[in-house]
Parts: sequence; structure tokens; C-alpha cells
Amino acid sequence: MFLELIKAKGYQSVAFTGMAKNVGKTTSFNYLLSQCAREKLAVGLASIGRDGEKVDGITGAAKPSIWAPEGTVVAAAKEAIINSTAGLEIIEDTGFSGAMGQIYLARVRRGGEIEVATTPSSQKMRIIISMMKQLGASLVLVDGALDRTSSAAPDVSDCTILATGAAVHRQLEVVVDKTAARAEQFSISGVPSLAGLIPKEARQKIANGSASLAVGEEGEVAMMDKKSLGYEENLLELLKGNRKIKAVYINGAVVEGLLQFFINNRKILQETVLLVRSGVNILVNHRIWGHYLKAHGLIYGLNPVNLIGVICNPTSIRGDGFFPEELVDKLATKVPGIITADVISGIFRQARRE
Amino acid sequence: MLDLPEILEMFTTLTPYGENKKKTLQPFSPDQQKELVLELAELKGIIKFIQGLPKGKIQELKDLMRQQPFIQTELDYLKVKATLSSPMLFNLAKFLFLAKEIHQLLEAARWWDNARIQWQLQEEAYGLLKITDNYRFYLGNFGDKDYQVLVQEIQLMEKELIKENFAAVTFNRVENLGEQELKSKLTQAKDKLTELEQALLENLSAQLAAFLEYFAQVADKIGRLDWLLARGFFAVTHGGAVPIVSSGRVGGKNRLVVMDGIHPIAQAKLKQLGTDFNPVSIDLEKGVALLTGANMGGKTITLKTVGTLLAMAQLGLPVTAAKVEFNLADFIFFSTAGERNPVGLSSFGAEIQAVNEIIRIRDKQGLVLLDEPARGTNPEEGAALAHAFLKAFQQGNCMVLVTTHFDSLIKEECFVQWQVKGLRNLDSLHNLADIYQSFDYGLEKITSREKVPRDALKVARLMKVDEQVLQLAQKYLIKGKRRPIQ
Repeated sequence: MFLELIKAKGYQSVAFTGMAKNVGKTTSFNYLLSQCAREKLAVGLASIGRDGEKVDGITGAAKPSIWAPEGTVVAAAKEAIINSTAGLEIIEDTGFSGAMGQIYLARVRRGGEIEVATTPSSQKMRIIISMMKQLGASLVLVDGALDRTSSAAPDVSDCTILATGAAVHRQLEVVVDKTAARAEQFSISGVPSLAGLIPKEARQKIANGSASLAVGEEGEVAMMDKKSLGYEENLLELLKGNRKIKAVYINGAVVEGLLQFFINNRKILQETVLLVRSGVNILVNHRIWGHYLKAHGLIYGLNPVNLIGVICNPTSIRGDGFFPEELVDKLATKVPGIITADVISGIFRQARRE
Repeated sequence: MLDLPEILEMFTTLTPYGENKKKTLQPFSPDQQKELVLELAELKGIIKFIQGLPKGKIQELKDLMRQQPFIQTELDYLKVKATLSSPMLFNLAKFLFLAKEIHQLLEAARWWDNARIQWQLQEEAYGLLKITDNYRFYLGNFGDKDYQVLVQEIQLMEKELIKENFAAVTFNRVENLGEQELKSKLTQAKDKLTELEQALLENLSAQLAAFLEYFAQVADKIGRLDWLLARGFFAVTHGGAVPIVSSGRVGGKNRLVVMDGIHPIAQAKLKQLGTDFNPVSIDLEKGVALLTGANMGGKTITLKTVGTLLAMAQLGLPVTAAKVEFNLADFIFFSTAGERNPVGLSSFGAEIQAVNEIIRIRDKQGLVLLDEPARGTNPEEGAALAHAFLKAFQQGNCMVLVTTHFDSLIKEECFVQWQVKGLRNLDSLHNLADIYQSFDYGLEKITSREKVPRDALKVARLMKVDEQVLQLAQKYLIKGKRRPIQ
């Protein structure tokens, strides 16, 4: 189902990101990869972020490695190429290097296990995706990092799949609520008119990724420096001067304190637009998120994330788990409009949006 | 002091080899004159080549150079007969492929007559790595029939195993007996394949080791080409000229001719301020030449420019001048009041110490640049010391260019005098802007022994120094029996 959707929409890259460790993100990755292999689709494999250990650092359980079928193009570091069981034809040097040495693009001539090179930079990842397309990859799969404060796979890909599962929490309802909140955060709309909201010079600063800022009713811009004061304190200072705030842009992570400020000051801030870089940068628990949406909710993302599905793993590393069908059904109800699936059990759902 | 590190930053190399050449750059010594002449002839050739090459080809050449991988690690491995890995063999293949592309581009553009940089294409090395129309590297291409058969067997076994469920190769789960046996066979086959591949790598590395000297030679020549191109592009972009080595030294005569010389760093800074650098023209020989002129007349920058241009010439760089003709110097010494290190010594003490070191080697063919020597002490003794030092230099073989305000030095007949033309009609100047506009920074050789120009108080007035202070200075001047300002 995922692949049909990706092909129908003409997406050329898909990112995988996880709710927690051991939710089956890499399994989801391998699943889509095997679907592509079955359809003989030329695929590129890349990875962004810092996650890359072979064995789970906490539990010691083996993490499933990526099996790269013949014809795949992979970004792989020097050491990974040497250690891979795949037969690799090295095609090009990306010009980047990582912890495991220089990163190359290689075509798999004989299927095998490979550790895909991880780059922490969105900009470098975009270059790697572009190089892979030039080498004939019709679809690039990007394995995303767990660390959501670093450059995130959804920033660089055409669409995103979110992985979740029993590893998130012992209670099914909590897993469902947390996942639904995360999906909602990913899916915040793009801002209707940036030019109408933010003056030109401030738009330039935003494009440079330099800082967070607030815009007053008359178009005056106040930079917000998080090092000296938290964003809440910055906003309080502005409000003290009896100034109305038209918009707030947050360059980095959006945390509970900031949303709580909007909740607490909903009357004064009811028309203030909260602009974030991307829904991926919202690091807020599902309860605060729910309260915030009711109290304010006027939040947009500069880089909307195109969430096309949720893949869930009903089994946790602890040994317990949920009934697969129950998990998928409940998730589908809470996250309507996109595909929800347990790919191991072969259960797929898509609830209609109301 | 001569800003050479900043100047070298203006030369852009494209490869790690060229960058190494730049970092290890040394001036040519006088006994290397022949090599420098060849180097400068090469430079002339590359400038002509760049000027004649279409823009597209220039970009193509730059792109090829930029992509060159750095293969020092690979060469080190070959030297100790260690086994190269697949990524290292890829690097070597890419290096050779691009070297061939560069070779072909230069040959087609008819620049390939320079025997010093030209390298041959050893087709055997290319054949070893199976380089054809690309530099991709796949170890599987080097396997024999048995290897290929083993690979096919493995592929069939893997297909059989993952037929039903992709998780079979990625998960630990309960397997049936058939799967277990298949997995065991597969593991054995893969172990054998690993051994075969290791043998392939060892064999290929051993064969490539025979070409170590060739690879190192090509790398060195690519570095030299890169450095030559960097200098050529600089000359074309900045209007630099190829310096001329004077045809021998006649009777040990030292000579330096600079025509319209520009200090490139000072020029860049002035451009940012919206103004231009006034070119320097001067002709120096063995002996002492005084440089006098109005305050703020650019005397210090003239010294710096002369020293910098000679240094650039002796490094084999294009010079930012219409012409520089020179003999190779044994040394360049530059002492300026602003840059003396006073640690542990007064500014005067440090200067005397430094000049004294140079006096000892005055018989060598050096360039000595002194900016207002002995300024840091009382004028009477300062003038006497400066005079004595310069007389000592006059006995030696150095070219000495000295800025000074001491009248007594000008009276010395054996010293040549150059003067900054400076401010001609002081009365018509009313402010600092007038000075900048009217100032003539050009140099002229003076034959009549006039006193050093007297315009310090006028300049001070134009700079809006307090009027009371100026009137007091005027009184002291008259008291000292010097002529008053108009």
C-alpha cells in the first residue's frame, strides 16, 4: 500500500522516523525496501542523524541490519564498505566524511547487509539524495534519527513514515495518544502567507536559520535570544510594554514551557501566530499538545511534513506487547486519512477523515 | 611584515597536491637562478595558455582538478606492500582516470610541450584497475570463473531464503530445518567468498605496488600543475606580470627595478574604502638610497611594496607591477618603527639589535629596508647613529632603501635620494580631504641636496590639531632657528 501511494504521488524520497528506540523503524525501512526490490524499483539508501549502533546500547539486543538488494544505491562509509557482506561497486565519492571515514555512493551488485552512512546535516543529505537520483535511483529511502533536535529526515524528503509501537509505553491507549499527537504535530499546515506575516528583513534572518524572533503589530521585529532569557521570558518582556505580538517564529525546538505560556496567556495571544521550522521540532507531550490546540492552536510550520503513514510494532523489547489488530485499529481511528499498518503481521488500515 | 601569508591566500589551489606545494614554498636562492628562470618561463607559458583557453575549457579543467582524490594513504600502503581495500582502490582508480582526462585536455589544448610537468600514461596501470570510460570499482570484476560461479550459488541460496518473508534475513526467529541447512550452506559459501575476495585484494595490491613510483610522480606533477595554474589565474585576474631575472650580476652589482608596483593587500584594503593604490616606480642599485617626503606620503608602504615585490619575484610568483627586474637576493630585511618587538627592550634597542645583525652580513647581496632608523631616541644621536649605519652599509653589497626625516643624511653625497612628490601647493589645501585628493605619491630622484620637506605643521593644521598647540609649536620652531610655516 505504501509503495503504491508513493508511486502514485510521484514521491522521490521517503523518510522514516521513530517515536522511540526499538519501535521497528529499521524494520519498516527494510519492509519498504523489500517491496521496492520485488517491483524492481531502483532505490537509494541514506541515513540522517546520529543513530547507528549495531546493538541496542541499553538492552544489548541485536538491532536488525539493513539488507540491501541488488541494484540498490547506498551511501556508505569506508569502514562500512569494507565490513559489508554485500558485493558493492563503488561509484562516487560524496566529498563528505563521517566517523567511519569517507562516504561513498555504491551500487549493490550482490545483495547483503550494509550499514548505511549517517550524515547529521540536512544540506549534505539533500546533496546525497540528488546524487543518488542522478545515478538512477527512482526512490531514496532515508533512515531518520531518533534525536529530533538534530536535522531531521522529514526536512529533506518528499514524504515521511512514522514508526511507533509497544516500546513507546506499556499501555496501548498511551501509545495511541502519543502517536496521534506526534502525527498531528507533523501534520501542522504550512503558513498561508509568510510575506503577510513577517517583514522582509526578518524573512531573510529566518531563511538564514539565524534566530528566533517576534513581530509586532506595526511590523517591528524583536530578536529573541534564548541564551540570556527563555522564549517565555522574551515574550513576557514584549507583552509588558503593552505591545501586541502578531507572530512568533521559533528557530529550534518548541518545548512544553513555550506552549504552556500560550495556554496561560490565551486571551492576549489569541491572534498571535506561532510559526515553527517544522512539526518535527515540536517536542511536547501529548497532554500539553492537546491543551494547547484547544487554547490557542494557531500554529504553522515553515517546512510542512508530508506524513503518509504510521507503521507499528505491537511487540516491545521488554517481551510484552499488544494484539496487533487492536493496535492498528485504534491508531487508524486516531490518525485518520493516512495508512496505518503492522507490516510483519500484514495488517493495513486507513480510516476516513471526518 | 611583507604580508606574504595573506598574499599567498590570494592564490587558489584546487588539489591537496597543489596546496602542499603552496605550503612548502621556499624562495629561490641566488645559486638557483637557472631554476627560477625556468620556473618563470613556465609561468609565462601558463598565463598565455589560460588567456587563450575558452571559458568552458577552463571550467572543465578546474572541475577535473577539484575532483582529484588525495592518495597519500594509498601510496603509503603500497610502499610497505600492505593490502589496499576496495575504497582505496576506488580512490586510486579515480585519481588515474582524472589524471588521464587532464592529460587529454591539456594535450588537445596544445599546452603539453612543457616537459617538466608533463606525465606519461602508463596504460598497464590503467589496465590493472580495469579503468575504461569511468572509475567505478567493483572487486567482483576481478574474480575468475570459480569466483563468479560461487557468487551465483550464493545469490540463488539467498533468493531461496528470503522468498517468503524479508524478515528471514533480518530477524532472529524460529526457523525450520530446511531453512537452517540452507543458512549453514550459505554461511560456508560466504566465508569462502570472503577468502577469495581477500586474495583478490592482496594480488591486485601486489601488482599495483610495482607502479608506486609512477603514481607518486603523477601526483607530484599534478601538484606542480595546480600550483602553476594558481599562479597563472592570479596573474590573469590581478593583472600580474612575470618578473624578469637580470642577466647576471656585473661585478657583483645588485639591481632592482620596479615599475608601477602595487602592494596587493594594501590595494585590496584601499579598494574597500573606495580609493586606489598609487603605483610605485623605483630603480635601486647597490648602496644606500634615501626616501624622503611629506608625512603621510606613503613612504612606509613604498618600502613594503618594494620588499614584497622582490619576495614575490624570488618565490616564482607573478608580481603586481607593470615590471619587476631583479637579481636574486641573499636576504630581505625590513625594519619598521611600527612593527618592532619591544619585549624586554625599548623600541630603539630592538631596532639597533636587529640592524646590527644585518650589518654583519652587508657583504651579501641583500635588500635592506629601513623605516626611519633611530627614530626612537634623541634626534642628535639618532641622526649620528643612522648616518654611521648607512655609511657602513654603503661599503657593502646590499641595496638599502631608507625613509628618514634627518637632514644630515641628505647631505651625504654618496647616498642616492628619492622623494615622494607629495603636496605641491600647500596654500591651496584646506582640509584632510584636500590632502588625499591632491597628494602625489609618485617618487622622483633628487639630484640637488635640498633639506627634507617641511610641512608637518601645515599637515597638523589641516588635521584640525588644536590651534593653541600649533602656535606653541610655531614658537619652538622659531626658537630652534628653523624657518616658520607660511
